Amino acid sequence: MVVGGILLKGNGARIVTLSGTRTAHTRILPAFHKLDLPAKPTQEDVVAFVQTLKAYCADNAIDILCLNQRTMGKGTHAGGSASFRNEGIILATSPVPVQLIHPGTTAAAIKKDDVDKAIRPDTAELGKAYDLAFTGLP
Amino acid sequence: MKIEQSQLPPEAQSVLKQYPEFQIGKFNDSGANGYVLIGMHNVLRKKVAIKIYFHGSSDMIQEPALIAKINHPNVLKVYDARRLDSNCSFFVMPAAENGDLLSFLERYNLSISIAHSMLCQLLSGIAALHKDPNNLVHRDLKPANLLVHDDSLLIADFGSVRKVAPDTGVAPASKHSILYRPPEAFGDEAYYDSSSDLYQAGLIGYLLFGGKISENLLDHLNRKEQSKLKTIEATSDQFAVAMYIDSCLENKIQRGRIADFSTLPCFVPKNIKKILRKAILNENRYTTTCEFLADLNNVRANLPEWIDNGESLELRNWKGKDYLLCFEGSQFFAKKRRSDGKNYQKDNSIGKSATIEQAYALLKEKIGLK
Repeated sequence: MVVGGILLKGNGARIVTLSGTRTAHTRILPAFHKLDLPAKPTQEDVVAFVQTLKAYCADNAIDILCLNQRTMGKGTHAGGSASFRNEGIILATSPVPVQLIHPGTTAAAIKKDDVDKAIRPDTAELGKAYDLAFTGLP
Repeated sequence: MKIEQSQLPPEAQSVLKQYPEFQIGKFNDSGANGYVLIGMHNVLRKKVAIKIYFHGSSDMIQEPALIAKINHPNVLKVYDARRLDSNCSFFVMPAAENGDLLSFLERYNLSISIAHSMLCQLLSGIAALHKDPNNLVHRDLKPANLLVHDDSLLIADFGSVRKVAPDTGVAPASKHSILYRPPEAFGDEAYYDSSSDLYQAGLIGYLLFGGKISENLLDHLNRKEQSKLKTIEATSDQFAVAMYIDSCLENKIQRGRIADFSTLPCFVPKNIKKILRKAILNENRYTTTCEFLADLNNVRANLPEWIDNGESLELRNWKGKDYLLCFEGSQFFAKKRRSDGKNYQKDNSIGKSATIEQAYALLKEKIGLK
């Protein structure tokens, strides 16, 4: 199974792609880890973003995309308007199923099956994207 | 102008007999392997093109079958396909309003955002070809094989398409269009893979942003090669001449010199040039369309909307103003107006320059372009 973990934060999306299972997986396509949309996007900007997302799913035979779940209230994982917009774009246009993952679910998955520290990216945001993809693995 | 059917080639006449609902408007015989009829489909009430092409009597007719498999807005669709006789077939497809990209680029200069958008569309279509289970490589992506309909780019001409081997991810190299052939497609161990299509997309991107590649092969020979060519022409046959030209071009492609980035307009941003250079590297170029698209997508923000409109360079809507670099009395100078304004006023705060590059550099500094 190939899972794309996408952390939506601000105008950007940080992406980690994992293939395999929680106990045995590899990180694929490490060069593709960042996708941005301008702060005030035009229609062409959104089209280019969607084309890239679709090509990413097609090139890597992605089975599922796992996004960080946002809240409408003032919870710990509340996001701003930009990530809200990006989440809507991905939900509306993704060619593969999208799963919104609650931070609690990610924490539980990491507690249950240890993450592969050798593969998990060191940077905070990519690390979180890795955790999302890890949670989506069978 | 009405086309006299009796003057068309016999194959085109047969197609018109088989297809009474088609009303011919244009006939094109510039293709290397067939003809194209453009006209109106009276039942569909759509402008359509009929491509008539020749093939060996034992050849599998793969072109329409391959197109029919792929459902993507940037890959040409096929409405119908029929066999005319044992070595000639035809298929019906939507007609592209603006013809092929080669003639489109001869007629128009594209703005930065349209060039960017067209390159993204091309890559998006390529992703659909490469996608599993299609696993196809086009192998002959070049401006003449891409169609433009409104502002959309369509991948066409699937005569060279092959499926890649599932274990190696490669297909045999194609001998099509030497100018656009990637370095790995030469020699005894020539091959073609998905990054080869991206190499060709990179070259097309270079053309979309205003770069020049002469279609005349002799233009690519340096002085030394041209002088040697004259000797070969005097002493050998046509085949030896063609082989020599091909070897010169191969050498140029292997050295990564087919695209001369100095021919790109001065206003093309550095980050776009960097992406295009990476796409046509001999090694370490993009291997997947999504990497190429992601880099293009990530530089989209704040791209200046320049266009070369023939007589001047125009920058549209940069921080609420339009700018014009124009030539008058042997000097270049800048004009500006509000983006919603009508008339340009001379901008005296930007001095006069002897070359367009100098004028561009002055304007760039003044308005904070990257």
